[in-house]
This record gives sequence, structure tokens and C-alpha cells, in this order.
Amino acid sequence: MLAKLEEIYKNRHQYAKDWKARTGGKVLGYFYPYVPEEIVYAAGVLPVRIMGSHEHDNLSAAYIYPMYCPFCRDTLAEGLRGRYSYLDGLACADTCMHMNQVFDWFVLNCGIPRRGTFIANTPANVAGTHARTYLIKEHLEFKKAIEGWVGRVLSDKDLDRGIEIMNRNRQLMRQVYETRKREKPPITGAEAQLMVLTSQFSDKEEHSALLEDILNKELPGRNRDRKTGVRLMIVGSEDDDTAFLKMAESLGVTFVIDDTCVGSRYFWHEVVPGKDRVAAIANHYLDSTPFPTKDWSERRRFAQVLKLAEEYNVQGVVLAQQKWCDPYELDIPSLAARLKERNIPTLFLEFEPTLPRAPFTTRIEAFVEMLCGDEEGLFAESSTVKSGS
Amino acid sequence: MAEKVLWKTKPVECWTKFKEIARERYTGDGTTTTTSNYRVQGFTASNYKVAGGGEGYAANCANMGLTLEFRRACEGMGYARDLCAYSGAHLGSIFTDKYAFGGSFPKPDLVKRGHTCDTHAKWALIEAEHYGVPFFATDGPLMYEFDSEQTRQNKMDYMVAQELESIEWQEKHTGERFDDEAYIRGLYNNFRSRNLWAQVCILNQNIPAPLDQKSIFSLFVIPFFQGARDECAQQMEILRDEVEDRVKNHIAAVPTERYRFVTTGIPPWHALNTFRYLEKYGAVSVACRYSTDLGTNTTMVEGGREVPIPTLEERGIVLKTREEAIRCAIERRCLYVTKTWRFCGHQGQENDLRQARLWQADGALLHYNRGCEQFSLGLPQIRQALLEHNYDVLIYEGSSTDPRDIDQIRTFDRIDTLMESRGLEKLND
Ligand code: SF4
Ligand code: SF4
Repeated sequence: MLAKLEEIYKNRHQYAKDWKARTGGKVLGYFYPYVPEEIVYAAGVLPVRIMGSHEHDNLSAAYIYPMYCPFCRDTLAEGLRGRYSYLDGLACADTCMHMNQVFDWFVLNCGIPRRGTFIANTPANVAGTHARTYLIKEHLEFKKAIEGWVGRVLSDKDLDRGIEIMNRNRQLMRQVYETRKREKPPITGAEAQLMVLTSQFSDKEEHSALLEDILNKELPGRNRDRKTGVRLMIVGSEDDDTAFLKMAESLGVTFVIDDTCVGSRYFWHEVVPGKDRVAAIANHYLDSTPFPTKDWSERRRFAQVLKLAEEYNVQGVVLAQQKWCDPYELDIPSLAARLKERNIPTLFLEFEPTLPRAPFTTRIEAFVEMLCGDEEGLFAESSTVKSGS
Repeated sequence: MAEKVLWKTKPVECWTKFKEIARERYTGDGTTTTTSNYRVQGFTASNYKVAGGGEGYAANCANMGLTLEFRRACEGMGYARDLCAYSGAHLGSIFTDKYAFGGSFPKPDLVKRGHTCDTHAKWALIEAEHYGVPFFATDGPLMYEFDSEQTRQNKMDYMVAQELESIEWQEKHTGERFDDEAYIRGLYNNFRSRNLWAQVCILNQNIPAPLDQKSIFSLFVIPFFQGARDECAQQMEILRDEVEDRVKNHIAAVPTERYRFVTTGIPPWHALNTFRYLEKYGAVSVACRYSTDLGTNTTMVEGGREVPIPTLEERGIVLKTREEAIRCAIERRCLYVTKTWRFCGHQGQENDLRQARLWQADGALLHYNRGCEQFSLGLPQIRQALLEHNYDVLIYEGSSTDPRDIDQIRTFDRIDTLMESRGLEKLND
């Protein structure tokens, strides 16, 4: 069943095409998970997150100056390869300028009519006093635009259904994450990431059914013989590089938790139902752990990172940086300092769409040595952290 | 391309006064419309001293050759090498406690700023945390061409509400009442200063150009950063009259003008001699979207031409309340979409093509700025559009403040190649 997730991940475009053929429904490609998928599901449309594929990119530089982040260039390259031609609509949530640029390229070049293009404007300061009023109004606009597109008004019942689909999927992913607290997590970090990525790529009702099977039939007793090694957390603006996680996990570590938008941040919080459905949805997007671009004065994300690190008994944190991502870069020194105060060492890694194996292997190995308190090793003085099981 | 002629030239007469005013922003008391002892870091101060400032200050640091030290200090604190060039220089100055205009970096009492790119608020937050002072940032969502009327309204309402809140916040933290009257007077001045600046920029459409780009970059800070002051609005009028007179009498900024460039975005402040190098060929940069608009709007489009956004007096607007004034300021930003950074550049293409046409350019000089995510949006598309419309396009990579990011020898080589391919030889060395 976990293998099924891998299959969806590898064939995500085919999956979406098959879904269309099977259901006759529309597929909406979206950039960044601030697009309220609840409203999209309420309309019977399949939302799929638009993302790159970590292949060599010799296409995007003609359209986007390479000082924009690798994640957005990788995403653009996937569009330039023509792999998103099946999309019926596009949505963006005004998350960051880098990705907005890619959205705009898709709008201009994917042949999607104007009425299939949506912006769910989201405040940059989610903690601001006036963010709520603004976002509720903008979600109403988004709903209205989606209604115009699908040709029907979305009732409370429709919205309840959308909320239910999303919440159910969130609950199940939380349950899977819960198992990672164990001394011997039955699922690796790479597998957990595949789970979240496929949730973003596939029909959530189908995904939830798969997760139920995984939870009930596959995870119990799984990985008993696998050595957990050092328990790590990965924190990033973005890290969808499953190959990197696999490589690292072959070096005596397990990523037991994360704070990324292809990890816990995507599903950790549920929509709290309310009489006003649109307001309930908007509240959810404001009250969830903010993305670095949207986390200002309160730095709520830091609190969540520290909480997760403690709950999952983390020994070290990998700070995965997409080069040029200012909002995250501006967080790193403060976040590293706060982790240090709790005696949690950090390893800073800068990501590109394709990563050279050797230098990253060396850095992970050195970090592991330090965490294991190798008294003869180069990092002997930092050996305050207990070693893994 | 113009024939080889030698135009009359003379220095800009109000130059010294402008230089004086520009410096006051960072050194003197001239930054206030009313007196106050509070130092507010950021853009929007109407009746508080601005300590340091953000972008403008960083640009000055670069121009004074200080940014390498500041950027390194910032990196030493763990911030990325590729961080926005303005924020890296500014924060480095804070971390080294070295103020470009002498002494220690002035500690702000409050940090307050507007947020229109992904960097602004976080940059300011770090400063506030460094000094342990209160912090407030107003979120300014950009307008997008596909926004519905309702969304435009929502965005404006959101911004107005935040600005009003920020005033209460200011009052709470300073214990001093916000001076509405001074604010409103400042806003009238502000509209007037920018209108006059737009007139100056439009006068530069003439051949020969009365102003060169390097001078424009020195002058433009007055209308944008200090335009609310009575004295600045008056000075702007003097400048406009002087430039009008130069046009009437064919007084050129560069006597050898025979090739015209337009440009876009933030220049490399540490390498403005690039513009002087062009002049060796009689090539003059005559307009830049950054110096015309600074991300706000000074002009609007009417019948294919750019005209100054009218002053409040011209529009017969009488502002009485704080809310009316704030809404009016926000509407200027939102409703006159002459300039937009938004996304992959098709509006940028239109703007830059219009600029090239109206300012009678032969070519465009595009700074591929590694130091700014906002003003580098859509550059490849803008380049493509200009080429398709038969403009020469010269690109050079650099950074607004980081000297490590520019290869000036290569830039000069490129200029040589383009100029020579157009049959232009160096006129002097
Ligand atoms: S990694 Fe950062 S810069 Fe890149 S798309 Fe995400 S938020 Fe934007
Ligand atoms: S607009 Fe450019 S220079 Fe200004 S804060 Fe943003 S990235 Fe930095």
C-alpha cells in the first residue's frame, strides 16, 4: 500500500488524467497550499499541487532569472515540459513572489481561459488584526469565481463535504505521523513525505482510503528490524526532495518529523466547523502554522518547530534552505539560536532541484558523527546529545 | 540614432540644495513635519524622525563603498549570502553598530514599515528584535490585473484598516497624539512632489535629455522619501522649472548625446560609474522605471502617453479626516497601475516598451539584479519583448549593493561590443 503511494507519486500526471477520464471532472492546478482546497472539493473539482520533478532543468532560465528559488524554477520547468497540459484551471494564493511569477507563466502559456484562473488572495501577515476580515472576503470571492466556473452555487452542504474530505485526510496523516514518535517508527521520513506529496497530487477520498489500509494493515509491526539511528527533524521553507531523504536515511538516521509545506505544515491543523463555512475555512488558513513568508511578529512557526522537536524526541535538525528564499533565510539564524538554547544541534543545507550526492552524504555523515558523540571525532566537544536507538 | 552633434550643457543649478536635503534624511532634523523625539524606522513616518531608513540608507552605504563590510557582518551573523541586497547591507550596518553618516547606528524607538515584497517585514522584524523595540508592519498586497472589482476594494479596505491601526499603535507606544493636520498637509505635498517629479521625468523624453541617469538617481529620493515636507515640494517646483528651461534651451546633460538607453529596476549603487562609461560613447540613460516610480506610481497612461497623476488640488479633493487621507494615499498606489512588479512581466513588458518608445530610446540597459526579488521579476520576458520590438538590449548582472556580484570589466566589455556594433566609437577616455 505504501508502494501504491510511490506509484501515484511517480505517475502523478497520469493519475490526474485518468481521474479526469474516470470522473469527467475538472482538475485545478494550484501553487502553494494556501489555496482553500475545501472550496475546490466542494465544487467536485480535483485540486493538484503544481510542482517540479527534480530533473535537470535547461528550460526555465529563458523565462525566469536564475536568482529566483530553485523550487519555483523546478516547478516552471515542469510546465515548460508540457506536462500540465491536462489542467482545466489554475489557482494561486499569493504566497511568494517567486512562485507568483511561475503562476503567471502558466496563466499566459497553458491556454487556460481567463475564467479558469483564480487567485485566493491571502494576507502576508496572517497574525494581523485585519487579516481575518480580509481573508474571509477573499475566500468569498474565490468561492464565487469557482461557482461561476463550475456553473452552480456551492451550498453549505457542499462546503461541509469539502471540509469533511480535507479534515478526514488530515486526521489520517496525523495518525500516521503519531506512529513516528515511537522508538522504532514504522515509516521513514522519505515515506512520510511521499504520503503528504501524494495527498497533494491525488483525490483525497481515494488517498484517505489508502491511508486507512496503511494504518490498519501495513504499519503495525513494520520496520521492527530497521535501525532507527539518529532521530532527525527536517525544517524548510520547502523540501520535496524525497531522494535526498532516502539518501540521508541510508546513513543511519531517521527523519521522524518535519516542518515543511510537503510535510506536517500541510495537514497539522483541521478546519474547525462553524456556522459560517467560509469563515471557518478562512480561520483555518490563518490559525495553522504559518509559512515563513507569512510568519511575522509572533513567529508562531518557531513555537511549532520547538514543540514538534520535543514531542518527537529529536536529536538534531536539518535546516533545508532553498537558495534565494528570503523569508526563510531571514528566519534561520533566529530559529537555529532557539534550537541551540534547547541543546538541539542544527545542520544547514542549501538545496537546488538536483543535488550532488557526495557532498551531501559527507555533511550528513559528519552531522551524525557529531550527534553520536564520537569522542575521537572532529566534533567531540559537541557530544551533548544522546545517540539513537 | 541621432547625428553627432555637440549640445550645450551646464550643471543642474539646484543640485547642491537637493544634496543637502537628501542628507538631512539621515543626519539632521529636516525629516520631520512636526517635531518629535521619536525615531521611527521605516517608510511611512509623517511626523517622526526617520532613523536610518531601509532601502535608501542601504543604497547610500553602497554608494559610499561600505556594503562589503556590512554584508560580511550580516553573513557573520548567519544570514545568507544571497539575501536581499538592501536588507543585508542595512542589517550589517546595525550589527556592526556603524552608521554610514558617522557614529553608532541610531537606535530606533519603534520599527514600523510597509510590506510589499516577501522580505520587508521580516527584515524590519530582525531590526526590532535586535534593539528590543516595538514592531509594526502593514501588509500591502499588490494589485493584479485579474483582480475583480470587489477584490480591489477588499485590498484597499485591508490596507486602510492596517494604516489606521498603525497610527493607534504609534500613539500607544509614544504616548503622543498623531498629528492629523500635519499628516494631511504632508499628503498634499506628497502628491504635489510626485506630480512635479513625474513632470521632470517626462521632460527627459526630449532630445537632448536635460538630465542624465546618475543625476536622476540622486534627485529622485527627495520626492519619494521627503516629498511630504513643505520645503521639498517647493524645491521640486524649482527643479521642474529649471529642467523645463533646459529643455527650452536645448541644454543637455551629456553634450555628446547620440544614443539613448532606458533602464529598469534598481541600479548597482556601488557601480553607478557604469552610466558614466556609457557617456564615453555619447550614450545616455534617460529613464528608469525605478527612479520614475519607486514602486509607487507617479504617472498614469492617457492615450498611450504617460502623464503625471494630478495633485489633490487639481482634482479638487478636500481631505478632512485621517481616514479620508489614508484612503486617498492608498488609492494612488492601487488605482493607477502604470507600473506593476507583478509576476512574470507581461505588464512589465508593456511598461518598459512604452518607456522605450516615449523616451525615444535606441536600446535598453537591463540590470539583472541578484539582490532584489521584486525588481527583477519578469526580466527575461522584458528583454525578449524589447528585442522583438527591435531595441538593442544590454544586460549586465549585478546587485544593488553587493560589489562581489558585479563583474564591471565584463559589463564595460559588453557596452564596448554593443556600441561598436552600432558604429559608435569612444569619444574620450
Ligand atoms: S521556497 Fe521560498 S522562495 Fe521558493 S517558492 Fe517557496 S516560499 Fe517562495
Ligand atoms: S523590494 Fe527588493 S530590495 Fe526591497 S526589500 Fe524586497 S527584495 Fe529587498
